[in-house]
Amino acid sequence: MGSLPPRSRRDRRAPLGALRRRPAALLASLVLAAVVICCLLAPLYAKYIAHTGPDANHITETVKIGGRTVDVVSPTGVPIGPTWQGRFLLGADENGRDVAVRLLYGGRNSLQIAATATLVTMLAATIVALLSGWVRGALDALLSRLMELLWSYPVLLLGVALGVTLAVGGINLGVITLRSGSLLLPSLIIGVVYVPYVARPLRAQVIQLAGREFVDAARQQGLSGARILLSEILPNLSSSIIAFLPLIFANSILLEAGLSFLGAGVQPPAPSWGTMIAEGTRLMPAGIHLVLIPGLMLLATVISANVLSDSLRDMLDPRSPTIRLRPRAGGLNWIESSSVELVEREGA
Amino acid sequence: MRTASDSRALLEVDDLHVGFPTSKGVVNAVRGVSFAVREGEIVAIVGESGSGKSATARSLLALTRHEGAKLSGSVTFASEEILNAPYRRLRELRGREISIVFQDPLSSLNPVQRIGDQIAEQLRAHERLSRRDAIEAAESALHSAGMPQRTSWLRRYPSELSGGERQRVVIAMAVCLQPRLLVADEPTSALDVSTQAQILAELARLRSERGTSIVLVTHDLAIVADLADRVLVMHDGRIVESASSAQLIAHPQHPMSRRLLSAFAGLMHEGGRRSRPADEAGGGRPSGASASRRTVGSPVLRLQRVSFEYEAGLHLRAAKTASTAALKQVSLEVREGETLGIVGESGCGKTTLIRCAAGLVSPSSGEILFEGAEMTAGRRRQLRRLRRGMQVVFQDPMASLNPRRTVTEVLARPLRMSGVRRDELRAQIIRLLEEVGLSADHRLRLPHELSGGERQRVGIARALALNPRLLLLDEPVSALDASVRMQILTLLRDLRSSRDLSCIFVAHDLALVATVSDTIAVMHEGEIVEQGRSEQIWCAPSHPHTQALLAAVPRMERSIASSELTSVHARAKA
Amino acid sequence: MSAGALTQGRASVPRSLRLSSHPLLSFALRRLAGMVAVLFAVSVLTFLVFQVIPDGDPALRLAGHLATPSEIRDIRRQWGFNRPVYIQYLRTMEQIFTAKVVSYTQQVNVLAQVGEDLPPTISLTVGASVLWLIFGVALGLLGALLSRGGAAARLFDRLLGALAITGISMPTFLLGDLLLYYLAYRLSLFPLGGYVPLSSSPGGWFTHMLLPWATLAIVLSGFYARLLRSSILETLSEPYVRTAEAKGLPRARVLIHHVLRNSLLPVVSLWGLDFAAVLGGGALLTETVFNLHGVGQYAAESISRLDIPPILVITMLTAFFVVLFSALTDIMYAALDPRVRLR
Repeated sequence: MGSLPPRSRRDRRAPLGALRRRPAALLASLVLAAVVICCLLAPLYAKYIAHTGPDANHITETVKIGGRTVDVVSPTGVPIGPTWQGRFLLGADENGRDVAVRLLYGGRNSLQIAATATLVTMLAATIVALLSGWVRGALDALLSRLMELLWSYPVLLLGVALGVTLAVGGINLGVITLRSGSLLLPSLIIGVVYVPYVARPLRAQVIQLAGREFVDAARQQGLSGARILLSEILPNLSSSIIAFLPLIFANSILLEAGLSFLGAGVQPPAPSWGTMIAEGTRLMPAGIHLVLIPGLMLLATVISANVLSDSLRDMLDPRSPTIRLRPRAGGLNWIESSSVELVEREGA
Repeated sequence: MRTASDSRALLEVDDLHVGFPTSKGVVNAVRGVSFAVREGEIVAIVGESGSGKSATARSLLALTRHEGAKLSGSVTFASEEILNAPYRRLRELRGREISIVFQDPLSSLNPVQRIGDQIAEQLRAHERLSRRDAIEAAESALHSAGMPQRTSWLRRYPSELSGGERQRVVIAMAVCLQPRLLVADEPTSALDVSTQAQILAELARLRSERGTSIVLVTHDLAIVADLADRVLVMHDGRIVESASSAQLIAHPQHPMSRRLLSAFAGLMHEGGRRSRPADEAGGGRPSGASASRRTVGSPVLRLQRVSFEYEAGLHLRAAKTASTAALKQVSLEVREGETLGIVGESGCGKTTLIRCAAGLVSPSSGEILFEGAEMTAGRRRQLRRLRRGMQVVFQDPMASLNPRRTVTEVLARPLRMSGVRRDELRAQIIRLLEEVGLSADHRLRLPHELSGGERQRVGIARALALNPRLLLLDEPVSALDASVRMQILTLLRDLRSSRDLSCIFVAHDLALVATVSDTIAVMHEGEIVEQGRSEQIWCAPSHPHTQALLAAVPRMERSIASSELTSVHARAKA
Repeated sequence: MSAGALTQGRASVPRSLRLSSHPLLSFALRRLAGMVAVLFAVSVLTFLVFQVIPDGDPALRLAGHLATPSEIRDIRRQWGFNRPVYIQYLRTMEQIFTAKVVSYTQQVNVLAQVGEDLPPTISLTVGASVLWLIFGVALGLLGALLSRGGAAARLFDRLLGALAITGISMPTFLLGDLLLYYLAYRLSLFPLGGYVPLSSSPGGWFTHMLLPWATLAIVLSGFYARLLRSSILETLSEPYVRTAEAKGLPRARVLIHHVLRNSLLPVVSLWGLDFAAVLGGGALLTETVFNLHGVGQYAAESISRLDIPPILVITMLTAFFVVLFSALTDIMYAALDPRVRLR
């Protein structure tokens, strides 16, 4: 990836101005912020507006709409649609749970998993890229082969395989024990899955930076490799890393939803957008709102993150020599859909 | 047919303005340029980068129209307006009547199309030819552009040719339909010195044999002195001087012309080591005597039979770049206070040699002694300390500065290493900046906020911050504009005497190296083919490769350098 | 596996010299060795994952819910689950390559089942990949041309861009659900999922496949359109395009021979890889939503049952397709771009 134009002390605040000049990016940021804030406020909404919890079952109850009393779930098992009032604002699911409450709680889970996964991906990928690109030799060969191995698995298949096996049984790795149902599990799985996609372009960038003359100058000053990596190379990766963040976040949300849809992600009864869509799908065609509501929420979030990532990439420094290489994995490997233009950077 | 004596104006440019819309408003690259080119005339447009000369050249075919540029004024070719001609008409003119050759022959050829097809395509765009006839015509075009007659050229791809061959292909393609006007936009700046001479000769031949008019755009005044009838000097989007080339060189009027000229002429007269103020102050000795003073110094750096080769397979990618050519049994010596020049074409191993000497790469065999200490053995920590005694100034000032570090950050670290206390740091940084001709204002800038020359000054300051005994200068001025070159060379000369530095000066230009160095080593394919005192190499080169390098020096530059060096040589002989 | 397989060669080695050592043959041999290595690594990894997880004991799958501990012990001995891990692995591999491997939960021959599931997957792959390539290229080209036009054209380009980003952000299962609900259920335009073999009813096959194709094509053509658009814009700024314009070529020739020819290279190589991924069951969400009974759906079901043999077979199949097609794409790429050399 190119680098954001570095700024001198005078105009370090310029990114905000740049954002203001791009209405799409501004809108995307606002939508993302709104989604995050709403999901964080889920307990308040549940307590004071909906008066129920995410897992509370109201299957036998009734609700008054415009003076009429309606079953939350009809005798034939069809749940109520959106009521547009405090209770069951967005309707109920087949167990009589409040969809609006579950949507917000599910969003908390989805966002938390995606955020953790993004951090895992970026951290691991940066370390792999730095080691691989700087040390080269046998370590590089080993890490590269490992990345390629991850790469020749389709992401979803890998995620599902890891997800089901781990999610069902939990995992015991000596010191760390993760119980089944822990949110960390899907986060870790998703995080690992995307490492090669980020590590490869970053590695290419490290190699390219390592060949630049300012690194030679630092070596000529007698600096150790570790110090050169931290003080000369890492700062130059920062803009790529920043541009990758929303992209990986978007894809993590999609992968989480995909995994949960297949039952390999968040384990019921805990809600997430993916599990909610899966539950809705099972009830089709009776409860299209159960698919549509979490689906639209998911879509809005992912589109915003993708738009933000696009804008960040556009703001990359046009003067830096960037070459877009062809991505070595297809669009499909990004969870059947969401794709990424991997932008690698190499000396011209 | 057409001859040079036919003096009708073929091309007339009147008040041409070219503006490129960007996100920050329109950038006016050309602001009111007027000139004419007669049949059979060679007109050179000279200027620094950003002077608008290239935009002018591209506008002669209205190519800037495709780049979204705003054009005004008029360009008439054979009394026909070009700028607002319909595309259909432009298409007929381009390639048939007016052709253009761009700077980089590699990127100006389609990488996935065979050479033959690219030329044939040009022919068939303008003439009713069968594919087979077109290919045949392409072959003869290549041959007449000086390519050895071999059918296999046609089936090659651009990536399979050398730089010079590619530029010949581009020229062959441009002139295969015998256009009346050829626009050459920096046709040789991406090429080696010797290839450059061949391509220029090719252009001269075109004019003399076919009477083609040529507009030659370049930043290098020296190369056009031989070739052009008339020179237009451009600065800031305007033509600031227009004169015959002889007149311009003899009596430049505009300050910009003088700056372009002084880039090397001044270097020889004022910037050369033989008229250093320090020498004069030291007792007014005859300038030739300064050389003898320096030879008594003890060796600072000594390379003994140093070889370097890449292990096949491991560094396949790296081995391809020019900076990693092999070295074969190179032995060198730099004495205290002396400047050693290393000259050779790109890919001859000059840069590898510098990197070996600096300890940035380890040689496969041989010994490197820096102030008596062995560089190739010993502990890593020790080597790292040893290395600080010799610092490198790199070719590309942009690549040699970390884009994310301010000037202060760049200089603070080496200063701290050399023992400057934290509270003195600020003062020391300013002192260092002033020593290299910058001011305290530059402290907080980032590299992209500096000009090319300023960047190179920061690079020099960084090298000096560690108080090195030896400065390794790897083509320190070749990435700079001509007028800036002179300033940097003067700075280097002053620093050399004020700090009593030893230097290795690497460049591809023999005239430049000869005037700044005491001794010269000529490199060719990883070997040193000739070594000796500068004036001796200049006046009596013995190796054929040195002679070739000498022959490639443009005549004007040669005459200036010669006036200096031959006199020294004569004195030395006497 | 495909990484680093190609280098952008700039050195001026005569082509004839390179051909003399039969690069294609040595390339194929190297890739074959690479494929064996990948298949080995993938199978070992998958096998091991199921060995270390707490609930992975295959004897439990075979015995069913009501088995007594002694029954489970018998099964363990009978199936050799008490033998060392490497013996179990070798046995399983032997069964796979002799086509004798059976699934633990349903006790059917896995290879036969995969063979049965391949036709829907192949139908999905071929149809959808052609669709997304055509739409992607058309939209990408349109976008690139519009982005250089007037204000109205640029607005339309931005609209296309917004559509593409929506496609990219759309999960396939959500799109599939919505298409099924609105087009198949509400409007009854299409059947509600399932697969009809081409041989038994070409018309039925086509109507059953149309929605799955559309789902994958909508999602992926957005990606291809964006890739091609930026690739074209990049190519347009290349000096050789300026040369082509300066040669006085007709506009269409510049666009097709010089711009599109170079811009399509990344798209083509990507297409091969996506093709392989769908073929290897990568589109398991789409297959599941439309109940196509393809390889991907089989994989999803087997994984949720923790049934090792089919999982092993399908992961190896996927890896096989990915490696095979990445090699084919590399060969195709090298044929299209002389700067790229096979190695």
